[in-house]
Amino acid sequence: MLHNSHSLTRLVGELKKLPGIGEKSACRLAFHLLRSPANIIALAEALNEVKSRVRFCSVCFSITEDDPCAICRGNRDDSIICVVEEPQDVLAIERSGAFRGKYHVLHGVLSPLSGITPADLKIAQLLERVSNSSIKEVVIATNFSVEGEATAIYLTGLFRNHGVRVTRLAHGIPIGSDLEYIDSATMQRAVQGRSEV
Amino acid sequence: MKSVTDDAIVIGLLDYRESDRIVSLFTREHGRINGIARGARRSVKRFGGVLELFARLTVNFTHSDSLVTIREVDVFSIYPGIRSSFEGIAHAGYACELVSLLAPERQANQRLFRLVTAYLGHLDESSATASDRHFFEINLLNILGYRPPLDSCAGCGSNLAVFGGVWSATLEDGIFCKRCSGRGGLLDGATVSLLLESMKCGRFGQIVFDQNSIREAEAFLEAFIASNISRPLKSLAFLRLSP
Repeated sequence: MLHNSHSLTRLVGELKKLPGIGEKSACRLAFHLLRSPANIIALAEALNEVKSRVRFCSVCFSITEDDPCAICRGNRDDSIICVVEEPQDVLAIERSGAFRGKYHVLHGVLSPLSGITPADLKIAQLLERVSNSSIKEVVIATNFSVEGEATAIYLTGLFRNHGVRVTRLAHGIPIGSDLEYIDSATMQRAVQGRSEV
Repeated sequence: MKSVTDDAIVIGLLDYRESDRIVSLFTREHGRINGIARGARRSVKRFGGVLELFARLTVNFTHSDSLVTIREVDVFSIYPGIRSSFEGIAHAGYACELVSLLAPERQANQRLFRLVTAYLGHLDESSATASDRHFFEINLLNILGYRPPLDSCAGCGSNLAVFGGVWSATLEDGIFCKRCSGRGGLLDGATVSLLLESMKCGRFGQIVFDQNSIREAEAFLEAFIASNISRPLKSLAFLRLSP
């Protein structure tokens, strides 16, 4: 127990549960907060607010404070929907400003070794959305891991007879990089997916 | 600390802390090992984004008592053919999970390494079939010393490949011919023959199970494998999704 303080020990214990925070970092953060009481109150209020206000959008399952979320309510292209693994992927694509359609968050990917099947993801809801709306294109933006690829292949099969165009994000050599430093797996894929100019 | 280079197949991955990965490898010279790849999720410099399930690599690592430290990898193949097929991913995932659960840690088994690489190579080049899966399963069991007693009846010693067999859910008492035991899962003589032939044959695609043999072998091998592992196979649910 830290300095015989149960509450401080508890705080360190809670901070340690955060990703990337070990015992020493947790102690450092706890003592930093202890030195600035105003920060403690602001942090506690922010955590409380997140807990009480943030939820999943009932349409796209991204995070939101208002349901449906701003993207689902907004004046976006209804005919194209981008399927991502996690809510943070929506933020990454939105940062690029390249996509003007709507989103659907699966909350995971199919995984052979974890036994994650379609029933564990928001796939049934996606199917329902596509079936009951004017969606013409489904862009699959799962990660390029084995699990992401498996999910993309599964979704492609699922929408084969739904009269929608199914596309996958392009992948290959990053902008501004030198070919000599590209790993062989990425290079293999870049050559396979070469396009006409 | 001495560093070692070995051929390896990635049979399991687990994200660890902010940017590390715990990687299960099945290696040619060191058997099944678990290692930590520091910064693997953040930096592609050392690992080049190839620490992926079923990737075949040349891996450089330093030994320690628990987790080895993976220093560098060089990709041999990421098996693009497997990655582009749902059935391929399902079958390769199942194979990797079997190796994870049945192969002893840090014991080299070159025959098993050859079997796994041959299976992944076969899946990469051709469609995944139940027949090849059973070929893989029975050979894996045989190599690891879990060979099912398919030669003769546990009661009267008659030839199961001729008379067929009956197995019970416990599988502890062995397999009986139909005269010695009337209840349980059936194994036709032809199915027993195909399973025995599979253990003598060294190449995928040469033994082809017919529909009845596939059904019988699947039920038997699933029960036999389940009786030898500590937990249910997670990849089976995924495998059943494939057409």
